[in-house]
Order: sequence, then C-alpha cells, then structure tokens
Amino acid sequence: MTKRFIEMGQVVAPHGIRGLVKINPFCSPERFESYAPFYDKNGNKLTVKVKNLMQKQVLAQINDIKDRTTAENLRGLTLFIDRHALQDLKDDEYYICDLKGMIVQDANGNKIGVVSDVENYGASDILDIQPTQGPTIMLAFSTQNILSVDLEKSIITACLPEETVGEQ
Amino acid sequence: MTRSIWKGPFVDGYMLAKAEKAKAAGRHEVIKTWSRRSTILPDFVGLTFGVYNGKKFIPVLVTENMVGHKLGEFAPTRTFNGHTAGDKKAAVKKV
Repeated sequence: MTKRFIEMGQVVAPHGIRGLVKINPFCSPERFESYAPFYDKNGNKLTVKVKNLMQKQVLAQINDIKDRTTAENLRGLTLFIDRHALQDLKDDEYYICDLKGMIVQDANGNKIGVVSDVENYGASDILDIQPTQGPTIMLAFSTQNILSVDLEKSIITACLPEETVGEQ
Repeated sequence: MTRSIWKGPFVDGYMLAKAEKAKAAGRHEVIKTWSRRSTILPDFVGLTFGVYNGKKFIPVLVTENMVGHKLGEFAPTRTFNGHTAGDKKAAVKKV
C-alpha cells in the first residue's frame, strides 16, 4: 500500500502586499508546478498559481488570496500532492516516500525491521532499517542485499550480509 | 600539494589483504573498517565496506567510478537534517 498524499512543499512566508507567498518546494522549483493539483493536510484542494521562481523557492498565489493579511495565515501550510501525480519509474527504481515505512524481512519471512529512511552518500542508496530493538541497521540498496520489493504488500525481502572487521 | 606519483596510492596494508580474501571467498559480506584514509583501488570494485563515520559503519558499495577516491569520502561525519524531496528516487544498484 502506497501513501495517497505526499508532502511537496511548505509555505515559508508572505511576500509583498498582493497576497503572494514564498514556498519552499521539496523538489526542484522548476518541476514544482507540474505536480499540481495541491492539497492541504485535510485533503482539500488548493489553487496554487506559480508567479515566479527564485533560486530555491517559488513565489505563488494560493486560493486567489490578494492581500498580505490573509496570506500571513498561510505561513507554515504544508502542500501535498496526490501520489499518482508522480511519474512511473523503471522496474528497479522506487520513490523514497514509498519505501519509507515498508517492512523488511529475511528470506524465511522473519521480520528484520521497518525502513525509517533512505540515504545516499555518493556510493549507493542505503536503507536505514529500524529493528524492534537496538540500533538502526544500514543496508546498501543493491541486488546482492535486496531480493524483492513488494509495494502492494509493503514488504522488502532482504538478505543481511555478514560483517568482518578489516583491521584484523 | 598532490601526492608524488612514484609513491603510488596509499592504502592500509591490511585492507588489501582483506579485500583479496573477500574477493577470493566470494562471500556476501561487509568489511568493517576505520581506515577512511585508504584510497579505493580497482581491486575493491564490487566489494562492500562498512566505513566508520565516528558513530556508525556506513555501507559503501564500491563501483568503478569510485576508484581513486578515499573511502572516507562516502561516509560523511556530519548530519544534514533537511527535508527529503517528495519525488526523490532510489534505485537498486546492480552488482
């Protein structure tokens, strides 16, 4: 089961006196508008008209608000998009928002933990797995470690590697 | 100043021995190491190192384009607590 709504931006502050707001997008500012329509946390549709792009932010008008006083109330508003607005990916690619929260189990079906985050430090994507007890397990997202990813059942079947100490 | 070519790349001796052993065994393992200063050699391609970042061991799966860099470059020691992009993808890396 994938999540229905995904966070895609947050209103940072009002801008000017004509009701515009600065939005901090959780994607590249150029792509932000292509994910419309946007929703609030209760699932209500918002009309977001992008007026200008800044370096890392977007200037937009939300719900045709035309004065700064009303725009002040939007400060901190999180903008969500429908999961289906994201384009389809190749077979071995997954959206991080889909992977988060998936259950990781071994080949025998024993639960290892839950994916808490996906990181990338330049080598490969790394699954941060939170077991029921103890510290997180970091697992490289590679064909060696990952046997299958079932998005429907929200289960990743993984094979944890052995650990050897290099200094001995 | 760059390192003299005649010296060759720096690698801790035990890393070489361990990598050779791991390659020969062909086992599915992570080689834990504190040696962030070691240069990645072509012999390391395909191996996974657990590089210590001062707190935990970060799995570093070595690929061809990482040769010549240091292991420590792929295990940052400082955390960045930003928001993950909503449309960010992760791909299963083929080994």
